[in-house]
Amino acid sequence: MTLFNPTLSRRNLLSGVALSGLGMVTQPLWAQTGAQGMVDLHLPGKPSKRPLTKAFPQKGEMILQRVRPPLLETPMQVFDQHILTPNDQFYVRWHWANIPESVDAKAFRLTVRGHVERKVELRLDDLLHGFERIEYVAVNQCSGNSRGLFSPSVAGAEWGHGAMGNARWTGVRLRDVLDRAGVKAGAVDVRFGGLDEALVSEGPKFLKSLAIDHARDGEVMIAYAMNGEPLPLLNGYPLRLIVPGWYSTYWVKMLSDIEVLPQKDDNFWMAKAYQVPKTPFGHVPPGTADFPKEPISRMVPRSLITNLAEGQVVKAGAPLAISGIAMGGDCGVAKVEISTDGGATWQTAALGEDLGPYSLRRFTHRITMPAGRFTLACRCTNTKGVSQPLTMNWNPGGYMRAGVETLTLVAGEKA
Amino acid sequence: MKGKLMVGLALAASVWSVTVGATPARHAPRKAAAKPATPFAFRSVRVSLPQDFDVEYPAGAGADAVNANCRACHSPSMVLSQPPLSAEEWHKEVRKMIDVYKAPIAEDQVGAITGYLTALSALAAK
Repeated sequence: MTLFNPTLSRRNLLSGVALSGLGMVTQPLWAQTGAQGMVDLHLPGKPSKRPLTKAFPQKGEMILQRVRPPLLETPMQVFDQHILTPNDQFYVRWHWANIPESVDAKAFRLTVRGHVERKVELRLDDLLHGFERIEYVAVNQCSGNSRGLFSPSVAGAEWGHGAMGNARWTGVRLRDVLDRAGVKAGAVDVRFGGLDEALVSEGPKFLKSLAIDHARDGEVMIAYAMNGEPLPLLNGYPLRLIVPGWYSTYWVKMLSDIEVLPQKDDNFWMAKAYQVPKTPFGHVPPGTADFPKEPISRMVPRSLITNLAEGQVVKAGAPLAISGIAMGGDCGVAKVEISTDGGATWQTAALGEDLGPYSLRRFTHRITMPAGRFTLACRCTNTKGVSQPLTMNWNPGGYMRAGVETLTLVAGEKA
Repeated sequence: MKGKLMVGLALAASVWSVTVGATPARHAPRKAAAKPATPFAFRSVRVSLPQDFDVEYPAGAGADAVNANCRACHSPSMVLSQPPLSAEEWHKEVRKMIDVYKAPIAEDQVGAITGYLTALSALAAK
């Protein structure tokens, strides 16, 4: 089945480049979107402003990091307004620009193959009617979320805090689908691929794997709905792997191929890319280059204040409402604390509705500050007792940022 | 070809028409949900993704090499939003594009590309 013709695409691609050489093109998207305004992500030591864009299909206003392959960031106010991130403002991240622009729902097949009793090809309707349906809320966070805040800086997608989203996912258990094919004894990893392809034929196709026991834990899901609707194409229509509590690199989009392997997956995206230090929070002293590595895996606790911005002026001597979002990482949120003195003392914030251990959770608090500059910080402790570190974590890949984040605010006579 | 590019920028509308009818169960993260009240149906989808092949890198020595070699796979914004990198760091990035991602870049272009990027970083760092 061919949903996408790479040859045709390549020709268009090359013609696009050729056209630009002749100057026969429309206004650059970068310039067009600039008219809708810019947002400052407060990234230290690097370009910090990004255009806002509404140019992407099935997407509302997003922060434009990159047109090709698309990198779209969710603006912070979206997290202030919604605990479930709306589909049309859910962040987008692709590795290769060879993304199908159409999916034929009737022709689509999900293949399960490899170290199994029988190869299985499932239609979308098979998934809808032939398996028990499950549903839960889970945060999807890019491994490199907040990389732009890294100090010292590291190369890569220079995200602010918005390379994440929280959604209610509906679908079927990966375990049930694997059982349909019958996993043979000796299976080690399960590898997942989507409809997207490398732009250069020799380039490494984006493939990710989970250990067989993880794949069969009954939680990992093949989702066909996101917040009750089909997934936007850029978020992986028609199927996406959901790996709750793990970074998004494993949440393969446009999932079309599942291969059970009798050995450890050594493909580039597992063995070379997305490696983090084998330390708590993937932390090494800034500048460290050599350290024992492992593939990124479980998320760690984070919290962010969403209703106030860096440098904002607030009213002195008056109650100031604080609102934000927290995640436990690979478990629930136990506690969120607020500090107004740079971390010397902490006050406990109120927690909002619990939508499950893998969901974002709202926190709120109220403070009253005397006139002057102050540092506001929030710290999440998860239900396993792990707290965000006060010293920011760092690694050369720019992954897993999760230390306590601060905002410098000024309390004055007028807010 | 030009038409295709224009259409790409014009952005065809999406074709969703059906949503899941079930009201999600709160406080039951891993519980199997009941059958949706309204049947969920998959619809074929067709979109046009925006393109920006017309965007060029800022002028400078080696800009031609960068424009010719670095725009097929990704937008210039990826490069232009990086922190200032040293010549060695940029060389590593260019080599990664060639050796890992198999970008078809002629070896005699590597110097010009790295030089352009290093100069850009030096300018930005000022």
